[in-house]
Amino acid sequence: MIADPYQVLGIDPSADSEAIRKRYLALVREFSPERAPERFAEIRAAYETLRDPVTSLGMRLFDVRFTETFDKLIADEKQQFCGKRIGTDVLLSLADV
Amino acid sequence: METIIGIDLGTTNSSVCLIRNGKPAMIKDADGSAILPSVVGLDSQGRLLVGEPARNQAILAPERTVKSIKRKMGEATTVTMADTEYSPQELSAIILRTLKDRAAQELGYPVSKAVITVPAFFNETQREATRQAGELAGLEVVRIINEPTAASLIYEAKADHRERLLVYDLGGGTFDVSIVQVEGGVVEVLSSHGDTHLGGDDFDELLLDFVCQRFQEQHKLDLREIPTARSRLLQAVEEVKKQLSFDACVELNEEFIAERDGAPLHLKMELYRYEYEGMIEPLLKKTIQCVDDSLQDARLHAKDIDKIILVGGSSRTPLVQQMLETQLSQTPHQEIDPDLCVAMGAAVQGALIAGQDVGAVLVDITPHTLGVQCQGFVHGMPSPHEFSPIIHRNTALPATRSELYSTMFQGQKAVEVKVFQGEDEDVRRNQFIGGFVLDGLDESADAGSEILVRFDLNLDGMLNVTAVERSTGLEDRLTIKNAITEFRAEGHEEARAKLAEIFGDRTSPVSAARHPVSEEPPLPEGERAAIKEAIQLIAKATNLLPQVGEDDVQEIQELIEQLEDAIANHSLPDIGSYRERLEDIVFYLQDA
Repeated sequence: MIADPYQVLGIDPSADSEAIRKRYLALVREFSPERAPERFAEIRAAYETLRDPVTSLGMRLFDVRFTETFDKLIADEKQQFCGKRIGTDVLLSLADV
Repeated sequence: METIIGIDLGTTNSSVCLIRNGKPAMIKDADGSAILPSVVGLDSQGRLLVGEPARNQAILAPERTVKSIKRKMGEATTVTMADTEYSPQELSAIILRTLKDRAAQELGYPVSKAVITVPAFFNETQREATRQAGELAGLEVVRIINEPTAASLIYEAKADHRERLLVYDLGGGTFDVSIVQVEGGVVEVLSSHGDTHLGGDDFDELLLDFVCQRFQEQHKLDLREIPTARSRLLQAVEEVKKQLSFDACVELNEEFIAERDGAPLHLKMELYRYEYEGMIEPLLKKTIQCVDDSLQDARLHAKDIDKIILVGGSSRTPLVQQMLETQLSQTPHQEIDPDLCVAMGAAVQGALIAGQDVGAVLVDITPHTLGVQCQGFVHGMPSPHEFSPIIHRNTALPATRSELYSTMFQGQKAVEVKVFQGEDEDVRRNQFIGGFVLDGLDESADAGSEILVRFDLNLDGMLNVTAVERSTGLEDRLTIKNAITEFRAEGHEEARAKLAEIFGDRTSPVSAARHPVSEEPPLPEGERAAIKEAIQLIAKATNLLPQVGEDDVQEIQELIEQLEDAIANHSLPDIGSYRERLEDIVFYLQDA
């Protein structure tokens, strides 16, 4: 089983994409590909999973390790997108599903 | 702290850089030039010439001079230089060795480690060949990095600000475009596209064809078939090409380019920029297509790009800048010399590896998809040639990915793992990297016994392949079997010996950092010009030889020899006097 990406990044599942990106950049500076290639690969894989809102939502919905209630999920998503424009790339990736 | 130098091993020019007081400093030769033409030659006495002297000799002795060897890197071929065969790795090693020595001389102590740049679109084999060249030159290649990525490393981004750069790198022989995102002290490459056989050399050839065709219409003589005329013209059209970046019309004037029926033929014509642009436009359209593809891969639009950075000498072409401006609606940047920024970026990365805190952390990608051949479908039809990707292009490095495959039938003893690189679903249209046979499978297993294939792609873009039969744990690793790796096994020692001989023997480490070329004192401008004119005169005189009487032949040949000696000895008065005498004869014979 792949490591829980939220755990790898040390971040709460309710974090929004901006926070995920910030955390990822900070970790890459600390564990650069040059200095810590293996750790970097883990961080990168975790980031790639979470970067895509569709896969991260899918994981929180269906992965047995996540036992959040639907209400919590909906609240998180609402908070993230409330009053914000949804990026074109997100809309496009939703269209692919 | 150890010194790791950064080397830009280019098609036309190479250069070396190191970090001094936290800033990249180009290392210059005795003449004060940071650029070393990527030309290698042997003079008439068999002495090694590298850089400018070799470039000058190219006109007179194309058979003893090799240019643009980078275009052949990764091919299992050899090039003839003065009747001896050299591999592309060996010739590149001579250039690398010269740069390494230049750095050692500057520093006062030997250097043994380097970061070498390659075009982003170089494949596995071409990277491997570059690494070998480094080793032959006595360098430990601590990292191979992509040229556009290197260039982006020296653009300092503002803190807490996201900047997206498009690096357009059009060099002498290769083209790359990379989209790079700089944010929070991290430089991330988002996508790369390119063509490893498109560059300024192709523009020269087009211009040469154009000039020669016109000449042929007039004189019924194809200059491309005369080696000395061809190499002389090639150098001349290269100058014309550069000048056309500034002027709308350039005159090409080459006297005594050839002779027919005892009469000398001159080449004189005017070349217009619009004519030249018409020739190269189809090639430039290809590069614009790559720009579009890389934007698409990065899921970005033209308006998302904050800055266009031009790299490589050929990016100076006005048409390049125009086309980019039309396509992306913004003006490209050229703040840092497009000839030098790649070496500077390599030095930055070298210092970073050595542990100096000089810049951003780099996250690079692989521009090619890597996978294996399997039984499957191609264009919807069953086929044994399906390309099954394992690491997709634009994946961040280092990357480890694995995929499960299965045997075809019961009692199958072996599987062949063949590794390819490319984007086509048919392996036959991709580049073969290497392969091996996993032999001794469990014969009692049913069809569908699982084989796990794992790809490990490291920061240099070099691949390791492992295949494991899951039921038994039988495992094999890829030792890539192709001409390039075989060269490593068989030809390496031999090549080392050959290079040691060519560079001459040395004892102490610092004098090891000197070789015949760099020992020469710096040439004053006047002497340099005099030598250039003398060489042109020799070319003229040589062309006259077939049409003059026996006495004159002897006299001319003697004078040419004396003049060549004078050039070799840098004796300015001798060059002057012999040149005068030779000029008189040429003048007299030409009128006769």
